[in-house]
Amino acid sequence: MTAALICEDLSVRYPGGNTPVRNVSFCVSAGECFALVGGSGAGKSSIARALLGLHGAGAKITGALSLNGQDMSRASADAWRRLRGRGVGFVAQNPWSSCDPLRPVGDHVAEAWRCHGLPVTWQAIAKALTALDIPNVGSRQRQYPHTWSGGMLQRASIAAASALTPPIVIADEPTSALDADRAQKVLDALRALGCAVLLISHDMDLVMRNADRIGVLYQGLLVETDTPEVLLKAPAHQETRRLLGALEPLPPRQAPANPTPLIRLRDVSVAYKRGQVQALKPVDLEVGEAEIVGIQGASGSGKSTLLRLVMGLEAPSRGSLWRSEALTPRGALLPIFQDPIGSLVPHWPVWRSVAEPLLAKNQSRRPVKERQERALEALNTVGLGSISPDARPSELSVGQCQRVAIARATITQPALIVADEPTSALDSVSIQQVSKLLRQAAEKGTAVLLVSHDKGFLNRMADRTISLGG
Amino acid sequence: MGYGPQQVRSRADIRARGGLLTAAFSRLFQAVLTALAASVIVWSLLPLAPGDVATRVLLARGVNDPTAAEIAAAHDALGLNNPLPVQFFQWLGHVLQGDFGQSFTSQASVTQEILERLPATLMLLGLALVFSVVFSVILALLAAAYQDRWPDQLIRAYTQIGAAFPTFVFALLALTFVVVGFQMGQVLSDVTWRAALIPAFIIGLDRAASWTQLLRAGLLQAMNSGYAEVARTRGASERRILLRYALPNAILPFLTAIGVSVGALIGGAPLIEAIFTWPGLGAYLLEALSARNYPVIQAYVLIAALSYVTAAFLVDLAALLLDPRLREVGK
Repeated sequence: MTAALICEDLSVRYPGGNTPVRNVSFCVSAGECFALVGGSGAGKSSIARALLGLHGAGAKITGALSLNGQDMSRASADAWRRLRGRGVGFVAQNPWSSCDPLRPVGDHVAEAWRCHGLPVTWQAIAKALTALDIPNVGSRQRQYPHTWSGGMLQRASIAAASALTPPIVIADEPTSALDADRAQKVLDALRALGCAVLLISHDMDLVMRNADRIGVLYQGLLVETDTPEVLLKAPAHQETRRLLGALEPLPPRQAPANPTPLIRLRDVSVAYKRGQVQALKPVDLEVGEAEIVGIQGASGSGKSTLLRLVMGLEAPSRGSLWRSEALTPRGALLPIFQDPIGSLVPHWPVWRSVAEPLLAKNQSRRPVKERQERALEALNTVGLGSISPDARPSELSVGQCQRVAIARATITQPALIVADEPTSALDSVSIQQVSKLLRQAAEKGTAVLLVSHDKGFLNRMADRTISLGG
Repeated sequence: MGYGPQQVRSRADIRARGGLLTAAFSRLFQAVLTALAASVIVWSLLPLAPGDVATRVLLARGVNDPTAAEIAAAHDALGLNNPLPVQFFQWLGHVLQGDFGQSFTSQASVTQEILERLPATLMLLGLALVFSVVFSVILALLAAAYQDRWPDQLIRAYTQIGAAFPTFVFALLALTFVVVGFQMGQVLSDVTWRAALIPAFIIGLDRAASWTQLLRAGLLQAMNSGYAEVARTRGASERRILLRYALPNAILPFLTAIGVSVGALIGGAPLIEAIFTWPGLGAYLLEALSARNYPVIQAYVLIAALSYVTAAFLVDLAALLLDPRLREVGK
């Protein structure tokens, strides 16, 4: 059996001397699912681009590269173009930005043929979409991408990527825009194609469940390659162990019994424009001291509106809202946001961001030195003792920024932390760290209100979860 | 779109069509409102003008020293004793019937005088608009296709210079070197398409500069977008990505810019017409401005405003047809 992909001693060098991929060798057999994992900057995407011949005119590729037995090491731009779609398929990270917003989904699939000047019938498109479990193809393929759900649109992208039955499909983080259930469905669809799959992901859980073999990338080097079972049992490299850390279950948690209530919403709803736009359907919510409460819902279900109600930034249109005295002082209710980097002042040293709530607590202004010490302490508790407290957010990774944000939200030991999708921008290792830190905050008596679209994440984290109907 | 039996309409499809109609009607309603607001402002030029309107009208009619009785009679005849809103609707009623009143200077019907000169201006500006759209689309496509290579650099130099100089610089240069120097065209123009060619070309070249910049930037952005990149991985050629993906996506902001410029085009016409001695509305307006001939000014401003509103409405419609996200029901 010929290998779908052989990659020998592959290096990618950019004009500035930046070498994101160094001497990487691996092969993917026909029908195999090979996963490349690694943190950000490990070189995953550079490899994917090189394997598609899309590394850009400036980049220099060395090493041997063969796809389906065809040597592509010195292939011309035109040879690459003819190969793409036919010899190698590609599924991108975000299904919506993969589709031309001005054309219906059916057109997006038809492009697979039309790009190569091949004739295409609507039956062929319908067949490709039906094969990926998309119902009512006849009418659905005339709809526009923005009206489709992410999971379904990603399956349509897979249909387009595999339309000309390439022997191998490269999928670059194909599920990071989806929650766990939908992610698995997309992966199943990918595997059901029967072709070889090169899966690029940071989601160790997904990779362990779906890949036949896993290659671990670290700073442009392939440091370890083996089956999931072997890697799980005997990880050789520290990076493998770091990535596998994301799979450890969270320590068991005892939900507080009969906690003192902090905030209570009864039948609260919000409507705009004289009731024409229902931003939040009637909801009951109670959060007590040291509780972790999850709020789950699709986009548009009113999650953010509910958070603004809790934070007192918005008044309910109907229903009653009661807040405990404990939430009255400034700094007793602190938020954590979805975009960690955007939530920190870019030109402030991180210690200043962390110490900011100390100033908002109606306390006399403490001397800089003391605030710096408190910030350092807080950074230590979130495991960032090793970074410079004078670093700016741009010097940190996204995961580190979110831990800085948690340090800021916990420094005053507030009564309630409100976290809006705190993990959706993070890789699985950082998700694990952030989850642990939020748990720790709850152990110390701070209630956590956790909003997420990901049911699985809330099930692991929260004492109880309420769902907002879409 | 080239596949599927056309007679099969899904519910979503019908709703999308309903959305299109609803959205189109709401845009039309907005356009009518804007036109109405513009007409209020245009009308108010007259009551806000210094001096008594009736006296001005009488002066225009050659009554040099009107008596108080004559002025009072003129007030009655012109309806100036009515409340302002009534005056406005009377004026609007006349305008809707194509009556802009009498010129203060010639005492002829303003409508008549405008209709004599309007075709020449429309011819020049229409041709100029076609030129500028054609130039900017072709140049922007070339620049995007040859990004950072010499065609792109040449086109960028042109757009910089074109955007930096006022139109009349080119007009003067063209007049001096092309028209007079090479004996092409006629300086004292007749209203023929051939005579309109060179002035329209100059206006078009000038307008196209900033539009080319805009469209080129849009094209390049679209060519680096996620969907263009995915199309590349499907084996699409760069030409296909440019024409099939980038152009439709980049054309929307471009169309908006054109719609906005139509008003400016008409407002700037007098200058160009003066340079090329084009017998359009331009000279007529300049004369009216210096004579404070308000009925003429009103008519011209209203024509410019209505052209702008119409152009903006057409651009809105084009956007609705192009972009499915704009015709969502309830958003």
